Amino acid sequence: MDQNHNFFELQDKTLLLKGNWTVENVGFIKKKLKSCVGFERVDFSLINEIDTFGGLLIHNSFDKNILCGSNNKVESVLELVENHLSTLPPLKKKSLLLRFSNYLENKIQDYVYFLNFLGKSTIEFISKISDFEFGIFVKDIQNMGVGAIGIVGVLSFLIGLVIAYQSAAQLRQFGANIFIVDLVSISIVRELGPLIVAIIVSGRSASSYTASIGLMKVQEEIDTLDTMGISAYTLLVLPRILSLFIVMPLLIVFADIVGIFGGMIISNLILNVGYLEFIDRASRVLTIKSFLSGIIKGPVFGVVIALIGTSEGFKVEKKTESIGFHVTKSVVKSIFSVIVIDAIFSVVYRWLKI
Amino acid sequence: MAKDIIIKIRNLKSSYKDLVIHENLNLDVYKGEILAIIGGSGSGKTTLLKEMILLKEQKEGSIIIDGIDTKHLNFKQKQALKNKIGVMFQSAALFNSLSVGENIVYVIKKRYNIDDDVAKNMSMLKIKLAGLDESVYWLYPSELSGGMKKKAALARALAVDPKILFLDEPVSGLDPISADEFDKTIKKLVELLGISVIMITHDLSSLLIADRVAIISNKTIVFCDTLDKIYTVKDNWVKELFSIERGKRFLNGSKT
Repeated sequence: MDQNHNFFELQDKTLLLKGNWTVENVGFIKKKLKSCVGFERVDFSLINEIDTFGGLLIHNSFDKNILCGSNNKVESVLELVENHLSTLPPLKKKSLLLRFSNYLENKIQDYVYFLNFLGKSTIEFISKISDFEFGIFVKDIQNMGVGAIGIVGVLSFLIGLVIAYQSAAQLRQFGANIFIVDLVSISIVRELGPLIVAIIVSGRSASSYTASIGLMKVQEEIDTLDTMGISAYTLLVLPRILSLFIVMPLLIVFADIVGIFGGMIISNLILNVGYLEFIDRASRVLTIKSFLSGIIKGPVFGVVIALIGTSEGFKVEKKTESIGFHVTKSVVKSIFSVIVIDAIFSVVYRWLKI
Repeated sequence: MAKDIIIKIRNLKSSYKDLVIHENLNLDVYKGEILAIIGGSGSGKTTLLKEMILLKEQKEGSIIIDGIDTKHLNFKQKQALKNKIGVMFQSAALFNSLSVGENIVYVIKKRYNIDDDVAKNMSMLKIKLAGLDESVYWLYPSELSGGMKKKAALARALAVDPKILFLDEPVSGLDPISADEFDKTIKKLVELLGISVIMITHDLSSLLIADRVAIISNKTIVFCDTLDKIYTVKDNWVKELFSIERGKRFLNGSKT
């Protein structure tokens, strides 16, 4: 098509346009037209097919005064293009300062919203406790607790395994093989067990809470509940807070046991610490204090995760991308909060000498 | 005078698993006409549309669009055929992450190798053609009203000058004034661009802009002709439609 293109030819200072000036050809025609000079008139009578793309090309390439010829189709398309052409409105760009202030404003609004959510839900929990559905609560324990056992088990087992594996080399250098028990069991029970569970639950439950409540918001189910005088907070938020409050410590106990078991296997394989020996020392090293200090984080993490997950769900707007945006936010926020709260716990424990 | 046929459907049979939707369905769509398709809920209007726009493959029979049989096309042929059609879905289905103008530019640039500024100019032209103000170019779909969304979707459907335009419930959810305005826009576009329009609708008043009306009932097309011959239809669904208050009022209105 390169040499023998059939879109125009020069005859006696008149450029004869012909062929199909349609969308699939305009890119090629435009390129070819650049090399074409020395014409005084442009005749469009021979054009076979034309669409708005061809019309726009003619409109942009040639002066209106040099156009001539008779072709109803071309004339009507040219008229259409001329009548409907307009200039692109400029995009209003926000200044850096404005964008920063918007960002700050959003952040502050976020916290205000969360406080508002806390207050509102507390009031509704108390005043409309009759809307509480035991069924939702039980189902949530099933979904978020029993459903999470598999992944919590596998991940804590692997973490226990990895910790023991990494420390084994160091401890062997000093002949301190038996201290692997202290290292694995205390670190898992006090810190890693609760943290792993909280991060997994943040990913599983917070996102699911946000998505399910968000979809209800989009489909106006929340508004429907509101108009019926049923408290969406008591119905949807309270069961979820309670279920995570109960489920989290149980999952942490499970994670502790499986994690230590993982460490025990590696200790036996690499450091020759026997299983009985491991259990014997672990039972002496692990005080009830350190065990409880880990477990007690569970309910706190659970309540925070449930609050963040549900509050983000209530923030969803009637846009398709809104659910995705808030699900991401709820997961990021709950993981962030869990780690910050864990750090606060460490400071408090240190201070209380636990 | 024999009119050119742009879509020819013969002996179409389609089904979802065991549920037969169409059986022995025949339909011709002429070049440059507006064809409205009506039918009860669940009668298979949307299925027929999906088959015509290559989203669903029919079980038996043939659908010939602009001389090309839609069955057994390879990827390239399918793409070429898709370039000839524009579709506006019921929910407008604009890409939410792009502004209205970008929605149109995206469609143009994805299909053809066209310069940025030409695509932008074209996008502005299509926005104006669909009856919108140029200021919507940078607006996001979430910032538009229902009627504007539909028009923006129309502008996007027109992006690459399709030969055939499919509209699924174009005026559902619009107020009567916007709906009327939308109908007029479609009529104007057909005159200006010479395209063929296939419109699925529940809105009886929209039938007034259609050149012909096709009725789907009992898994097939029971009527396909101009609106004034609609009394002659023997089908039960059609009889019921025009015996109820809405139908009667429409018929009385359209006659005057």
